Amino acid sequence: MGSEANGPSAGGLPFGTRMGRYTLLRRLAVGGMAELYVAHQVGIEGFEKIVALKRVLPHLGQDPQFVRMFLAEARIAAALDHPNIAHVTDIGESDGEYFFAMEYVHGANLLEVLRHGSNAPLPLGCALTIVGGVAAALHHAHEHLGADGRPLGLVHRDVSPSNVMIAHSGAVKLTDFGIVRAAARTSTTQGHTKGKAGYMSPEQCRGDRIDRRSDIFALGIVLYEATTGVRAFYAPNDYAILGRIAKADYIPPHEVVPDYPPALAQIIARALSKDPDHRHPTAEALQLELEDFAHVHGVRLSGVDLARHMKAAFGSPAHPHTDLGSLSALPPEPSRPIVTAPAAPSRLPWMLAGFASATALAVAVWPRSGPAIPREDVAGAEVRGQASDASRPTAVAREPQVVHESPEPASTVPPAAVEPSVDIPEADSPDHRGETGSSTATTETATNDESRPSPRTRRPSRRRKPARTPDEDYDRNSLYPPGMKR
Amino acid sequence: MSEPASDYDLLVAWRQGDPGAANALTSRHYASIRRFFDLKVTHLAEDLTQQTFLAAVEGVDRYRAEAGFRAYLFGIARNQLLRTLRKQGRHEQAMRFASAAAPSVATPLSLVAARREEQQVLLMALAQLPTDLQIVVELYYWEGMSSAGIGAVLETNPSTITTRLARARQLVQQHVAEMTRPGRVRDSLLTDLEGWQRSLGPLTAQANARR
Repeated sequence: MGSEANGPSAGGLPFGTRMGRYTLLRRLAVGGMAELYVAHQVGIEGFEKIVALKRVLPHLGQDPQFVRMFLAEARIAAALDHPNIAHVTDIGESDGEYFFAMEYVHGANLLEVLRHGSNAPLPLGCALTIVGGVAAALHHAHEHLGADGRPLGLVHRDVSPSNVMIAHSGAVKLTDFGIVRAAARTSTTQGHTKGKAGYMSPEQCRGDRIDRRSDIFALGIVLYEATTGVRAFYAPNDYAILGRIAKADYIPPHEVVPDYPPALAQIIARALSKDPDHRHPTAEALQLELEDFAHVHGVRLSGVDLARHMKAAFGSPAHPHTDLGSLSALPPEPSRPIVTAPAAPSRLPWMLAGFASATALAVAVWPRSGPAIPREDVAGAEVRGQASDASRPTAVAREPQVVHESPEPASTVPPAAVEPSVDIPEADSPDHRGETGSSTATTETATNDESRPSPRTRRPSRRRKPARTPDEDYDRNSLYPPGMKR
Repeated sequence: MSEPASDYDLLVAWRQGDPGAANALTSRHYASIRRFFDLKVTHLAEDLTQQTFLAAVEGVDRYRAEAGFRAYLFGIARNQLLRTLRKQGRHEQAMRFASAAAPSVATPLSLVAARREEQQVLLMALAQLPTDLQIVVELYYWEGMSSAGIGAVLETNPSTITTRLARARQLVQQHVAEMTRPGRVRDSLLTDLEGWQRSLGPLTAQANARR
């Protein structure tokens, strides 16, 4: 993965970092504009929940236009309530950084599923279940009404395998409304072609005005790939890909899969029509055609079958809630002020080990793993106010001073209040190794207190599996394709 | 004021280990070579650009002054490109079936050149051309090179270049018609295809200059 080349933030914020009411467990992915974490939310009376938390990358946090876009994504996605859409549940700001929380989907995205099968076509029932679910999600978004009761004309604009999550339970969720736009507001003159080159519609490639039928074209591409296992529009470079899409120039499915059902090829041909007028008028119409096809051809559309396929492909990976033992010392009340990360050893140093010296690592993790403020000191403090300096790049230069100001960050955490109740056999082995293996670097950065190790350093050692590559680790729960920098 | 060193002088100085000469020479021609590759093998453009300069230094003895330095450099770039495409061609089937990786559109071209729909469509149409026709169009419209200079790059005579240029125009028109619906963009492009072609030159140079 290329993320290691991304500099100090390559590993993301350290385990245990607080953002609003959430505690970060690990980073799932990072794109050019935002990072995605799996995070833990706690509430009163033992309420706790695992969520996915999306955070604007720091260098974009100062860009008002981007922040507006990011928040618009959150608002739009939050307004979409559908079983096939990953719900946005919260939006927040912590120390000047914006984030939103959404439903965590424990599974893999469609790109990973296809890759995992060496790009063999999915079983037809599974492929149609997935595409049907996405069609339902899209139709819901397309039909979404504004506050005035009129359709907003939302268009997702980035329907691609990496944005389709398949839960291990067999649920299908469309994610990433990052560039969703109300059609009426779509501008074609901003100089940016958004979306992924292989999954645009002809009108999107041209920079033309788009509507919901653009998403239908993209869904047609997803259907093609799920049922053939290969790219519908492939070329050695992006502009050649866009050109082929603009001409709707793809290899007919039966040339890829000799016994490809002609009726399904017709559905694809309609969805992949160059002229939007010739496509399915709605995603629902496409979904109905797929269901009719399945009915006629005796193909069963079943979430159970999909779950079985996922289990056959990926086994039964541990859910992140099994990480929660590591958070034993963190305060449970949601009303607690947000505290910067306790002096828990960071995962970042482990990830960067071999790339940088301990000193460099210390600087790299400083903004978040720095001085944890004693809980009693910050009780009642405003979210915005906490540790703001430490989170800003300038804090790097101020590191020594801040360390002296807060010499005992580990003391903020009651020792071993809760030991892990679940032994974690394999999840996140790199990260967990990081908890111990990287302790030196982090301690140097944040505590300088050898006599009071973080509670997490005192956790009983876990069984460990042999080292896994980032890809192997990533395949488990990521919402984004490995192609994204992590 | 002394005259700026010629490209050839810089090349020789580079060959003799002068890092300043290397910097000066690459600064002059980086954007042109980079965009040469951008539209053809996007993801390898950076590497191939570097390899082109290194090959230029290594092969300085083969430099022919009469063709000009740019013809020499683009000739090397073309050879690098053809070699790469041959390799890709051998693996085309495997590549197509091996990966459904999410591609990126974050190329320098895509960031700048899509300001107008016409330019976006034209870039897509150019990308559909056979490689040598693409090269002819780019060197003619974007680099402002003569038929003789382009002939030196493609190792053919100038009259052939004229013929290829005409053929390229014809194909671009055809692709534009296939990619667009009747309307303003298509009309605008087909009415002044040459003007739009030339407009891409500064834009693509600007794209690389931003890097």
